[in-house]
Amino acid sequence: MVVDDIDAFFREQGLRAELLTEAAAFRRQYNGQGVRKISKPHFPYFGRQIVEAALSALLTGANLLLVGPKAVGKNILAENLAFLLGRPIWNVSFHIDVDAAYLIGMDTFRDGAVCFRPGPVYECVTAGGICILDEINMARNEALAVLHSLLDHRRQMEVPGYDRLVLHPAARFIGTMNYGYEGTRNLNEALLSRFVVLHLPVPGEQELQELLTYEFADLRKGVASTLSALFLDIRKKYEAKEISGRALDLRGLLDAVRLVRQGLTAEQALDMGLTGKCFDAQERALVKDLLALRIPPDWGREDFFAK
Amino acid sequence: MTYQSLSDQRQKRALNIVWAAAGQYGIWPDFLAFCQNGEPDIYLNSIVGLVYRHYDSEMLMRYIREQLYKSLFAELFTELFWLGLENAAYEKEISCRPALKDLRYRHAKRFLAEDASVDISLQQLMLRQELAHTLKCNRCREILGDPAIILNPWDKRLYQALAFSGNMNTAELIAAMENIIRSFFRFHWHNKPREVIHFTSHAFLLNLLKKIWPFHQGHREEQIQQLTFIASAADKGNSLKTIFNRQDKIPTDKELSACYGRSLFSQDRLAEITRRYCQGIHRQVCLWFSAEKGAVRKENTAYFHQHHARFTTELHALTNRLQNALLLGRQAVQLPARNGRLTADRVWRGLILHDGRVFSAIEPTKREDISVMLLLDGSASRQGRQSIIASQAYLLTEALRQVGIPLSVVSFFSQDGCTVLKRLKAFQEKSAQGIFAYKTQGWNRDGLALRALPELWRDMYGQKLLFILTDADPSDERSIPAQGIALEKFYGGEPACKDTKEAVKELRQQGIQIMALINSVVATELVTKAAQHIYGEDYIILQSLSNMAQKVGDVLEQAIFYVHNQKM
Repeated sequence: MVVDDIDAFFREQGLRAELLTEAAAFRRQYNGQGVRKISKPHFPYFGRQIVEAALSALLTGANLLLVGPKAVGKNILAENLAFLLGRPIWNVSFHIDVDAAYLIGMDTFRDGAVCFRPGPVYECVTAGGICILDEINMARNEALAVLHSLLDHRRQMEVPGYDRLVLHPAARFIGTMNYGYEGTRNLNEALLSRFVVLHLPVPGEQELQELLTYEFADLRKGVASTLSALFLDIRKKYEAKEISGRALDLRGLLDAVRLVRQGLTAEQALDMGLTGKCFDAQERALVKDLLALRIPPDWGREDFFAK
Repeated sequence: MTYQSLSDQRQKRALNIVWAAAGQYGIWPDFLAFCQNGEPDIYLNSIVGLVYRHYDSEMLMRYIREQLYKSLFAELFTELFWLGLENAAYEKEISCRPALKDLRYRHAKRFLAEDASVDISLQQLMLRQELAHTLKCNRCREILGDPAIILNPWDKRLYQALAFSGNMNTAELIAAMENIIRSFFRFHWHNKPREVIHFTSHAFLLNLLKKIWPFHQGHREEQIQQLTFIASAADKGNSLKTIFNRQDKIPTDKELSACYGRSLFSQDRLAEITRRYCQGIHRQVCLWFSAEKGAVRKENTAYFHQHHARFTTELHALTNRLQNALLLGRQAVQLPARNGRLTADRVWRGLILHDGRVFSAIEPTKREDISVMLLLDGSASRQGRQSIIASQAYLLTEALRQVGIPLSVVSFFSQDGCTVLKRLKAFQEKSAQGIFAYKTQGWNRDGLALRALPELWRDMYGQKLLFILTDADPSDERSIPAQGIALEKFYGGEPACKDTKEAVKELRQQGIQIMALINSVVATELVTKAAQHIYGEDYIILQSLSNMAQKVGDVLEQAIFYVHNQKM
């Protein structure tokens, strides 16, 4: 995929032309992206209104917080936005032990002397990249306080003992979070006020079908529709707390389709891609029933794909 | 795995199939289908779900309950109606659910195989509704592409009439069934070969007729699984009434021991406790502490097993949240030290400032610095919610056990002048099974129970968190005795709230952090007023008890952070 492709894709989806023009202008204005290459998103994000809102926010210089449950495409959207703006990505996965040193950088010994080894946030903001703060609410709020001055109007921070870190004008932060997910906590207001927030909708049958047919162009229409319905069934069961979120795995579903293409039956492939991720016998039985209700177990390559 | 838990799991699985096909969770169908080996019948259960998905289920079920069930041929008509519904739901769904064809085929194959099985018992044969069974067999043969077995023209016409179309709506389905009853089952000269008659009547008369009428009778209970498990609340301790029939008499230790289990404390200790707390407005009542939980209530365990899958998921989530909070709140503190792990960002201090503390020492933290008590109002006002309270308490206990926070569960109630505190789980106890012995009875003299509670919390140190599940409406049959010119008053309303408020204050003064979980049938505004009066800001209104454990988890999470921050 090249930028023109994604431009064309979003134009087809009905994205406002002026936004695409502004994104193109942004790309021209900040042409050099440094050493790191611009990564091409594997999937386009399906959801015109969301892309419009998110792109508008980034073009105005705001930082974006993408909120949504599992498998709604938070990272895919972030990658699409970075690609539209022509900026490289730094992906920082947050966890409980993230601290200021991990984000900004730390002292290290080099050639017998203590020197500064920059962290991902430092590298990203100096290169004008898009910094994806993935699962931002997995870290302690105290650890994130160090980012406050970078995220607000000051756009700079003091690195103790070293220089002042000044934000590149093209640099943007995109936080992602899954509220209520195990291991998460509330973001404090000080941090939250430095983001504009976008709640991502759960993809419906239409979006899932589009994603499946985008990834597998020869997938039969009926199969795409059945797989989408299956995925929504799993989500519903997960939301009703009958099963954990293990089987709610869009990547697993795509993997299963690939396995069918490779020659496995639908039952085998979906067992590997989805059911097998549940380690509780009862939960596995419930997911298996869901699969049985939607897809004949002996379906294979010929049933899934058009010749 | 016990037979009971296996049966519960299968039932839960069948229910999940219905829910998945219906596309809605929380419905409780009248019918669940199981194969002969006890496993859920995936096809028939999906048909039940699809009926809920595509038709006005309320209208259909009303028709079944109010019309078909009242017929003398209730079982037969219900089975015939479902045979028709099966066809309609299948036709309606097949275009968007390709797996249904395969499932139907497999179901038909298994049904006929089971029918031909030599293992079928005489009892099962006797219970079978023959006409419906013949039609079902014919439907299965048709699905498999085998020749029909129906020869009787009357049966043939009935079979054809039961092929309800996928285009029919709910009203049309009901009309079609009514038409079948009119055409085939009312007394007509021309349907003489079957000699059947249909009429509806009062249930009592029907039962009488069924006993004396010499016709073949199916047995619906064998096929229908009723899913309402919430048992009626426990009895109100009527047996006790016979022992303590005088209102003002305080029962003896022997009587109390016989009713509520042996005392947890020695006679002297109990006497001292009674002297300390049973004074003032409580001077005419007594206290009793027992660790004898009594028998596990079957309705409590049944409810828990019925919702096992959901509880497992909730337990997992709650445990993870608490573990996470503990990790955050209790992360070992790293302190600069002269030995330990080398801290890279302090090495420069060694070289430049000659500071030898370039290592870090890890300060270990304990989890015993926090203990939790769950005090359950065990009065009769909790009637009807006993099982859900027991399950939620169990869930919470398990979660806390897994993260290593000591928890004790105590229920209290007042009866015949005695406030009983029954310990269902001690802090050191590993098993939480005793919680299922929770039962509701009597009144709740909250003020006295709260004051006496620290007696069960003596050997714990550190931060103490008390969660009390209550309706914020303390009341007891034993009055507040006359004092000076003040007349005797009922223990309830404003005086009881005031007493409880003072008890809460006393507990706070002892360093116990209190959070009330208020659940009441009274209007929220009234409860809120009482809760504010007694507990200040430390209360949560629980509209539903089914999320009690999660709410306690929220508060506990904050409390863990609070304890941590206090230390820092």
